[in-house]
Order: sequence, then structure tokens, then C-alpha cells
Amino acid sequence: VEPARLRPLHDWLGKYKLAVNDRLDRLDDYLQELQQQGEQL
Amino acid sequence: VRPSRHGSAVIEFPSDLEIVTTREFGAPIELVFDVLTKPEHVVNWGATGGDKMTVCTIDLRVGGDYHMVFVTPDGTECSFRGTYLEIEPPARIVDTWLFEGWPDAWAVETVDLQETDGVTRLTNKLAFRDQAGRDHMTRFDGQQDSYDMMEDLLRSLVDPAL
Repeated sequence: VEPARLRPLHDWLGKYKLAVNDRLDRLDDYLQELQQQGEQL
Repeated sequence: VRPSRHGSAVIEFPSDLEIVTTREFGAPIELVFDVLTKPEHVVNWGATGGDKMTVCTIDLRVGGDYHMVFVTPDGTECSFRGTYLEIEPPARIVDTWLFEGWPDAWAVETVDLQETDGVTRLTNKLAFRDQAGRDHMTRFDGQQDSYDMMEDLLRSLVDPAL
């Protein structure tokens, strides 16, 4: 396998991981925000 | 101070037809389940990267449907929909998953939640019906159109119920 041919797959996986992490990080932040609001009430 | 878990999702490809993502959250399982399944919560976290969620309907019962639409900053619309197959609050959701741009990329999504000492572990499995479906997610053929479509999807991935 020529390493250059794997480059697009490597790039795609990188973008996929970034997108998934971005979405789950937003979920995490929102959960923390809700809990902090609950603690303040 | 709570530890940051940003960037900690683990993504695996256990077979040609599956994508499995796991992630821990510092929140009780009931809250995580609510935030995943109630539209008034999903609209607050579901869109990423400058996208705007313009539609979020969730009929949380077996046989009920969900539908979510995102609009990217350049005006591209991404639409996801599906039907709930199993619901076991607060631990499990199974639904069908369809990105409307790719009608053959149909999958069954399983979300499992497990809480230990106040930390909830989420496991999301997308099981594609056939190789053609997952190939949409993984193929690389050098065609710019494919990348453009993939990027549209990636902006809104992985799945509205995540």
C-alpha cells in the first residue's frame, strides 16, 4: 500500500474524530451548565 | 473543579458495518438521558461548528419518530430522521438513523448509558444495513463532491440523539 493513498483516509478520520468530539464536548458543557444552575437554585 | 473531558471520545470501527463511540460525562444518568431525548435540551447542544438547528422534533415512544434539521453557515441544510425501536429510560435507546442526503446510508443506532459514581458512560453504536451504507461514511475516492457531502454530514454528526 502506498502511504500517499492512505492520506485521504487519515484526513477523513481526523475530521470525523473532531466532529464527534465537538458534538460530545458541547453536550458535556451543557450538562455541566445545567448542573451548575441546579446547584445555584 | 471538575476535570475536563473535552476531546476524550473514543471512536472504534469494530467491523465493516459498525462505528462505536464511547464518552464519559460527569452527570447522573437520568440527566444525560433527558438531555439526549428532550427537544428543549437538544436544541441547546445539538448543533456544532456554527450550524443552526432549525427543526428538532422527538416523539419518544416505540414507533415514534424524530427529525432534526441543521443549517450550515453557507446555507446547506442537513436533515436526519428515524424511528424509535426500543426505549428503556434512562439506560438505552435504539432507533433507525437516516441522513436524508444519503438514502442508502441507513443504520440502526443504539445508545447505552451506564452510571458509576456519578459518571455516566455513553456508548453509541451505528450499525449500517450493508457495506454500501458505511462506505458512504468511509470511502475516499478523490472526488471533491464526496468530501463536500462528507463535510456537510460531519458538521452535524454523529447523530442527533448523541
